[in-house]
Amino acid sequence: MRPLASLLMIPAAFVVAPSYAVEYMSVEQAQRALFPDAERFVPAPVLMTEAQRDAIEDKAGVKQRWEKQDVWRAEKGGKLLGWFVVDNVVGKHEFITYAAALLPEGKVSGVEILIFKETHGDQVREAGWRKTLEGKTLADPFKLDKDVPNISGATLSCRNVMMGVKRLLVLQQLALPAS
Amino acid sequence: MNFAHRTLTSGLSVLVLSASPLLADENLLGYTAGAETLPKGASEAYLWITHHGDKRRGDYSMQEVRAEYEYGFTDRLSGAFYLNGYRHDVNCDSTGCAGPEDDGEFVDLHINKFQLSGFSVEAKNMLLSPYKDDLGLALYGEFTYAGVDSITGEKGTGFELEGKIILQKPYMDGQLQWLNNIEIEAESWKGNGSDLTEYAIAPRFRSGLAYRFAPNWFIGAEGWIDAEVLNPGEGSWEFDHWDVFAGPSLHYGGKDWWATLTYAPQLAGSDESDGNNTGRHLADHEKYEVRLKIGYNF
Repeated sequence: MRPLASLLMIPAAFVVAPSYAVEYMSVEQAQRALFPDAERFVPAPVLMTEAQRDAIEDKAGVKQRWEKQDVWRAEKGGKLLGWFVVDNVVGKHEFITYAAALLPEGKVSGVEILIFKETHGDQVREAGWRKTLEGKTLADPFKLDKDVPNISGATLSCRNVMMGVKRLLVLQQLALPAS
Repeated sequence: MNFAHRTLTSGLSVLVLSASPLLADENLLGYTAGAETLPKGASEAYLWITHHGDKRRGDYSMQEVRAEYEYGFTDRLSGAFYLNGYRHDVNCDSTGCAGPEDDGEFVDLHINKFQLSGFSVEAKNMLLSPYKDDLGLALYGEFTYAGVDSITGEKGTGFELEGKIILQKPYMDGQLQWLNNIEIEAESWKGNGSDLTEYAIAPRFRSGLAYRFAPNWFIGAEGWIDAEVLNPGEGSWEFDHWDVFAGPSLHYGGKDWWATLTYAPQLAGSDESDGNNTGRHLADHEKYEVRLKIGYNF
């Protein structure tokens, strides 16, 4: 049994391996990038009932994991420019934190990746891939390699960020006012 | 601290408990393969160590060691090269380590050494992506040349062809994965000094689940059933044995590397002789296996 004991020791060392986190953009930076004309961002967190979360899942096709969604009203001169939403989606090992800007009419005006830690596929952080999500509405297919390009080696990240944005559009439709 | 900062800080506090990336051909389970391939131009080095412990009698310990280099030729086609070796620490007396005591197998077998056995080459083609197409599908082929018998450590010449159909179904946005492999293996073996070449065909079905219970960490369970028909070199084919293994698995995925540990005892099998009634096959297999795989992406 000696070899077995030796084998078990190696993963024990992994358990204490240090973790890390990389922040590419703060919430404030993302707010300025996505709503450059906004004069203020008013916190408007959304607390969802189980029925609302089920409704979002039914319409978006992905689970609304959180009871609370962090949302800000982007305003200029007291007028609503859009909604700024911070969200987390499942990556292969971690949650990916991103921010989406949603226009009052239910259209995506931009996406920024705040925290991303995948070895392959950091192209989802690049403007070129994120731009493919701009202008999306719930009328779009949200299908990889159809209306949003896939990135090999980061397919799960692409899919979950894309579907996360779709889920936020559904959340906006069901839980946020039009003005 | 303003609200925006608090929000990001709370997000970070979740993430700081963890940290890491996605490696495309990461092995979530020790034995059951996933459908993804390495991206084009990516490389991965693996080290596999599989401990095989205990037969029916005597002392039997064998470690199968494989060093693998894998490369992504395209986003859907990868190839790999392996070097294979075995360490045997075996002491079987006059009754042998398996079979009935009056007609044992591995009689008076004593060996304690590491031997390089040979090499393998593999190709894997992902036809459907588990995340893009909802159900992943890949075809896998592997050829092996062996100069050492994996069970006894004796020298000889062996060839093996293995084919797999790999299915991978993600659930919960990929947090839970269900992997299935349908496999078939055909092999030949001619021991040094023997006039006979043995042939064997072994179909196998593997299935396993892996669940990410914390950032970077997956817990899983997998099992397999296989059977073997063989031609001992005298022209006729006969059913030899079947067996079932199953056990738990633990996986860690880091930024550039990952590791998977699986423990799989033999739960059931056809006795290797009519004289035994233990419900396990302990000639071609052992009472349990423990596999550690480490992968490094570069």
